[in-house]
Amino acid sequence: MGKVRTEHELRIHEGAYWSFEWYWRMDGQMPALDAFEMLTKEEQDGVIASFEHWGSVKPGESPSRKRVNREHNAPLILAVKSKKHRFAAFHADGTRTWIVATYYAKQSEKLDKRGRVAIRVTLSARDDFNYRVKDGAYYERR
Amino acid sequence: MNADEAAKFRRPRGMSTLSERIRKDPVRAARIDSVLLAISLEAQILRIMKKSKITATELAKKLNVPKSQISRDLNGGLSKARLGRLHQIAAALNHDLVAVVVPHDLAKARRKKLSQLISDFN
Repeated sequence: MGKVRTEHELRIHEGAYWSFEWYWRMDGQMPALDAFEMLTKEEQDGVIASFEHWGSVKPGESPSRKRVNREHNAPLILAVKSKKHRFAAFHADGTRTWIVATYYAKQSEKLDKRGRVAIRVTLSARDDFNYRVKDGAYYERR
Repeated sequence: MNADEAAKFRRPRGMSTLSERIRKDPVRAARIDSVLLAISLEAQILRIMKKSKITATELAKKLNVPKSQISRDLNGGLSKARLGRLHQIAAALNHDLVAVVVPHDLAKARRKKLSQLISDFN
């Protein structure tokens, strides 16, 4: 069972061009943040560096493929990388914010079972996010 | 309220980002900066290789090192590389390594100009 989180823990990084937040489930949990906290400090710093890099990339330009990977096309799912660690994110429509929904550790070059499951979870998180934002029930809670 | 509107609403209430909280520890801030520096170097080297149509295998041959070494370098290894090694890689790509040390409080605009100047070179 993950921790119940508050909005104080929502934001990851605000870059010059892109911002990042954890996906906040209806039950108050942020599963990707739980996974992030399980990493060592060194591993966490590698992930934060990847977010900071991506946040500074101008719209229309591509971030380093070594740091950000395209996991799914339509809807676009990108994953922040640092060594074997992947944090999959979707874009919040009409904003400069990416929502980081899922973590998985990649074992091989190809997209494996864990990767496929992570993408499925991220896609369903995106549906839930869009629905609750439209409904005025995502950011309005305390 | 969408994500950007919510962020604007939270900012005046003093809510920091995870990255800001982590960066309060100078050891961790230095580690993040070192990874960012390596990312920037990796990106520059990859851009030059693409432009000059040089593969990792060809670069390894020029440097007389195994290809696995180049793969390591271009996958985070540069954060631990010595200056001499960086110089060798740059030279193998017909480039020079130029060291620039700038003050912490260099104005954002000047820092942006510097980044632009660097990207114009490759």
